[in-house]
Amino acid sequence: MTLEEFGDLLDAYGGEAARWPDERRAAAERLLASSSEAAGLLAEARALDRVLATYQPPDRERLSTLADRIVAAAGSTHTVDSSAAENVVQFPRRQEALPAGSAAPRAEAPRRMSARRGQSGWQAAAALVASLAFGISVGLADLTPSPLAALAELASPGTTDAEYALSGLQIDGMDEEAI
Amino acid sequence: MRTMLARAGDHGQAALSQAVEDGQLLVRLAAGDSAAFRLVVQRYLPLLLTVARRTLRDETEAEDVAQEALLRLWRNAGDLELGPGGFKPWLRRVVGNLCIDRVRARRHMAVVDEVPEVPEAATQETSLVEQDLSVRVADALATLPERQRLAVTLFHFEGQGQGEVAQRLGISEEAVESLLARARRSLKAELKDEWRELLPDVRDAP
Repeated sequence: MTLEEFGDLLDAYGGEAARWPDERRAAAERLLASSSEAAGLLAEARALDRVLATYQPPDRERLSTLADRIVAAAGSTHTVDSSAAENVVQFPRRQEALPAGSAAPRAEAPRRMSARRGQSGWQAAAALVASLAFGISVGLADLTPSPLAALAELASPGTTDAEYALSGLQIDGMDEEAI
Repeated sequence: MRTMLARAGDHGQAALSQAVEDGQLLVRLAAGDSAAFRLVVQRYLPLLLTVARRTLRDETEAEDVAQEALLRLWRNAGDLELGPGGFKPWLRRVVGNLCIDRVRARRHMAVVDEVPEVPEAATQETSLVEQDLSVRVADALATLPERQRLAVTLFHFEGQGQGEVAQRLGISEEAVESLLARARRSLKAELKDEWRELLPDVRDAP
């Protein structure tokens, strides 16, 4: 075995002789017995082994489960082969696209979104209240006051995000906080 | 025999390749490509877990932090501009900030009785050094191409034999040796400051 071959052996298998291929171990040990350069390479390989040994990789099964959870949390329960462009399935984007070149400061994002949310809430509630009022007036519906009160409360400026969430209304960009 | 310079050159090439690959992935993330996001998660999750675990010393909290960092990448992909380091510096910074937030939150709940009366200085120091090294190793592993990383994980960290690794990857034993050698050369170049510290007689060498 040459010194270069010994170096290649160490590069692949590290400095622990027991992990070297059986058919090359004896030749490597003979070289080691006669070459200080080989001994130097072995010392380097063992030093790298010691550094690598400080790392404990996460449990592979747990890692896989966590990776699945993260991808799912990003908005989809399945992945696609993106090499086939026609089959690309996009996650629903939580971030509303802005026109090119109009990236607004992040600090302003919550205020803009709150305003939009409040506006759409008022519009939706007003339309629903009008519909309900019309229904009552023509006697085609037997509505109790409670849904009307709930709608009025929902559309009030003081409605919290949590209440909106419970109501099922979409809140765009809720998690678009500054990093 | 390859010189250290040549190996460092190989590593620089690998880092550049990584940055280019991350740039391409970023474009796909911004377009909402879930497969691209999975690739990013698979590549960086072990590193982020190691970094978070080192600070928080709590597996569940570390997982939460790593998850949040990756989801922030996903949500902000359209606004990010990557530097030459690719995703890694950005993700590490986010994980670092999230860990700091959690440590600060813990301080509010700290109980004096939990502080040991006799600090175990030597043990703690050793442990911190090892944890720093483990982060550096995780960092270096994250720069490896997927198959190299898997091969080195199976062989060196899980102790599987060459035949088992070959079977797992569906390749020949010769191909496993090639993967392992390329992976380990990259790691050796990336971690040279660390392993050379363990060689007292060459520490002062130029």
